[in-house]
Amino acid sequence: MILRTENLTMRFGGVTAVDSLNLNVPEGGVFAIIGPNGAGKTTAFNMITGAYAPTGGRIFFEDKDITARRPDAITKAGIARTFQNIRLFKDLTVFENVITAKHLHLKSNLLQAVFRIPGISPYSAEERTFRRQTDELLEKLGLSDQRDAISSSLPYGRQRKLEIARALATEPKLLLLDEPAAGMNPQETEELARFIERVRNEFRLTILLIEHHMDLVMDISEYIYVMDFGVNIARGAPAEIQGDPKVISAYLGSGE
Amino acid sequence: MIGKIFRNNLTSAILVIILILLAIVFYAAQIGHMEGPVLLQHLVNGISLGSLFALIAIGYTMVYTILSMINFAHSDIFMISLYFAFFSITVFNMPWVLALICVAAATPLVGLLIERLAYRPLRGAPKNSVLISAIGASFLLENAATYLFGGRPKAFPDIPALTRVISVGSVNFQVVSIVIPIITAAILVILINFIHHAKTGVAMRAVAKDYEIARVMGVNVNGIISLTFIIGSVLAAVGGFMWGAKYPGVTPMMGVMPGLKCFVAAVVGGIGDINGAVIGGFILGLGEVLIVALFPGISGYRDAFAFVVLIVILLVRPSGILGSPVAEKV
Amino acid sequence: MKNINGKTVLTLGVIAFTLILAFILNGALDSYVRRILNLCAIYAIISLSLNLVNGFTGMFSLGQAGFMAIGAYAVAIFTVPAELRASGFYLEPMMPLLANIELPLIAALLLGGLLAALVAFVIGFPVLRLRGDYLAIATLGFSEIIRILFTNMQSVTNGALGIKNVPQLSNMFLIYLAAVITIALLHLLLTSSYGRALKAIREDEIVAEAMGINLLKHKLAAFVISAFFAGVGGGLYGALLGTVDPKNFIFTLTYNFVLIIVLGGLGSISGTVIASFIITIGMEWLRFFDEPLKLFGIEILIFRPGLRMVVFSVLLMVIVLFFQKGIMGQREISFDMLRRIPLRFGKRREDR
Repeated sequence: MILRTENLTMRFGGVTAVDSLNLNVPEGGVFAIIGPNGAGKTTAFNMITGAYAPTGGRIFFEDKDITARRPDAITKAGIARTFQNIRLFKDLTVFENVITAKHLHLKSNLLQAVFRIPGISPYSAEERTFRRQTDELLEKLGLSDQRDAISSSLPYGRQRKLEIARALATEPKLLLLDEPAAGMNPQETEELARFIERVRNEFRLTILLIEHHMDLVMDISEYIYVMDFGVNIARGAPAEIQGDPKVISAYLGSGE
Repeated sequence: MIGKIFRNNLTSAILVIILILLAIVFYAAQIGHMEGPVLLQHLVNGISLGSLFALIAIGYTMVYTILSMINFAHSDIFMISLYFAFFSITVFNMPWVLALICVAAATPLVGLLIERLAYRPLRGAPKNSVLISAIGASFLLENAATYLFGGRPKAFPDIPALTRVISVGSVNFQVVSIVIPIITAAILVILINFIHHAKTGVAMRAVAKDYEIARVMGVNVNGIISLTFIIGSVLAAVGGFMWGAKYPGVTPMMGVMPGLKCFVAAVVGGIGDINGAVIGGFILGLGEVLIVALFPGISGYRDAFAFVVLIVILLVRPSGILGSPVAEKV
Repeated sequence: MKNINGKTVLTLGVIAFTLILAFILNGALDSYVRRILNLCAIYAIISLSLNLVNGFTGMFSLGQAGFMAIGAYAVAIFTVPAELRASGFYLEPMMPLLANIELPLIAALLLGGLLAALVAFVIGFPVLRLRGDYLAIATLGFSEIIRILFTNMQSVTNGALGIKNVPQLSNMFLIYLAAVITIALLHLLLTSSYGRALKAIREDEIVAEAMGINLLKHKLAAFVISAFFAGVGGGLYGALLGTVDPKNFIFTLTYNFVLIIVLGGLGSISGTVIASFIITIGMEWLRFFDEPLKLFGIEILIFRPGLRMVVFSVLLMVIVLFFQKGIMGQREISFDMLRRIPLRFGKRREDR
């Protein structure tokens, strides 16, 4: 198991946003959490990535307890994420967005980075490596034609891609995608599905995603968790989920 | 955890704090061989200074709740109100009660003007821009006051009705020291009732929660924001008047230190909570007076006390005594 | 380094030119003009230090006056010749421990910078974990506490009397050298991976953290480095004045630097340097506002002491309200830009 949660719980005041969630995500493959709005999916992500400290339960990543660790420490351990509403560094270029995410691999200290005398300080060599890796990554994901464009000027679909590229630059083992297809039309969604599969294969990582688009989820994920009102009401392979009456009623009941 | 207990029972919280302070005082007094009446006198002074701080701190906390910004100019609104009071008594020969009313009516105009010119155009702008604008407004008021009224201190006119010394037993204190806490208490009761029960008060809380949503719900957001500045300015004006009566000496920079301390008071009490502002004001006011009284050797550092308290509270309980921790939106 | 390209040579050329110019002007200019130009460079150092925190990292500090005071007192305490000290400290003699230590100016400047950095570390550690605007109040408060401390530590700082007889520094070459070094170091910092991390924090803290950037560590580093340069700048300032007393370091001094970085552009080194010259020279030029003025034999009543500062604060408001980006925004002057080659949408960026 690359990721495991035990009775993961989050309460905000009197509201229980996530109630005793038990995830078991084995290495490799694409996994999904689905559920109507307000089911607690993003809250679960926020706990896994350290943005929220859970009020109960534990999170294990590669069998190490990472519960309530700081977000940057969790990213260093190997979990990267994207955000529901795309959050790029808007004033920075595509290249700068991605290379910024390389910073966590930097070994030189601050003084070595400022006094970067070749031969004495390892910084320049590290910087060259980062630049090369960043360019390779952009090339691989088909973003290099807009390398020096300000990120907020990119079309919507490419901003999504860039956000994924930035997350990949941290060299994660587990990638969390928060509604990657939000706001996309069927054709774009289809392209995204292929893109996600390609990323999974080429970077050999595990992907856990939150999605509303059932087509996308059924298309690419091998195992699905269904949440409703903070509770995990069903789990299983896409075919099992599709026929589950509890899932259908959760979606119909909430008007989706 | 402590905050929860406190919040459930505000009165007991205030009682506990006062008791702790009293215990410290009596302990320290025993060491310092301070006489009972002298001590009582310091307590009266501390409470009246605390009440003044509370009046000003409420203005900071209200603006912060609604606009999430530190209204740096609030301290200068306080300063301007002292000049208003000075001129209405010395130049226009007003009796002090009339002067107080006029000052309380005129000061909000300054508050409104600042909101209109310096803050409203920047609504939705980056936080740092708003902060710089607030600093600019504060600096402008200070410089304008220096230019118009001169940098030398002006003596606030003596108001015998307020400065008369009365003796109870062997304790001597000025009338104003008693008047201030009474006025503060009265204003607090009115304000809290207003915010929780009046329709406008409810709208005010809605704007504080989320002004976009409040706007959609049909609340006149600009009106509410203006009202907030009016209330804050009136309180600052009343506080300023009493301040002048108690500490007569009016200069263009005089608002700065009280202003900083009162913002600290608001943070200490828990920003966004009027009761918190009052508790914070009392802690700082009493603390400052008592430190000077008990340890005259370090009286030069009295202005540092507030900032020490600030750092301690930020370390121990960043959301303040009554504040609840807020989760950041992700 | 194989690719020492044209730009590196050009940059070094500009630096050499500036220093040579400073060296020549040092002998050629009268003391009044020299003093103002020196002040420009010192203000540039301090404004850059403030911009590192407020413009590049997106925090908001108002503590520069306090850090400057630390630097200025380090210079004042340690560079006054030991035999001249007793006459100044007549209320209370100087602490024996310090009374006989004399340091050369450079050492005192570095000491001041390091002490300021240490204080910044102590303040920053609790405060930087909190929401941004608390930093403004906490640093402002600390800047005042530092001043209060210096006013009260009679045997160290001579209290409110201040320290006179500080060997005056008027050497343009030295001051401009300090400014050039500051600019170079900050440029190297900001173009490094650490600089990118700071900008990421400015853009979006939550994302920066999710990209593996330790917020507290990086903010603290920026804050401490900023304090260091403010301390050095304060030391130079003290040496330029020749007298150091607590009243020089009232927190409103910091507002000068706020105005400079807002005018120059929050997040622009070159903008800050340009604005330092504009504001410092402008403030000097505006002095006529404070003098009584007669036009056609009639005295214009509005010209009297204090008007200059009113104009100054109105200026600040106008820039904040109407020209939020300042002169440079977040851009820098580069040779590419100067050559005006329309490659801006094209291939190369600054440092390739």
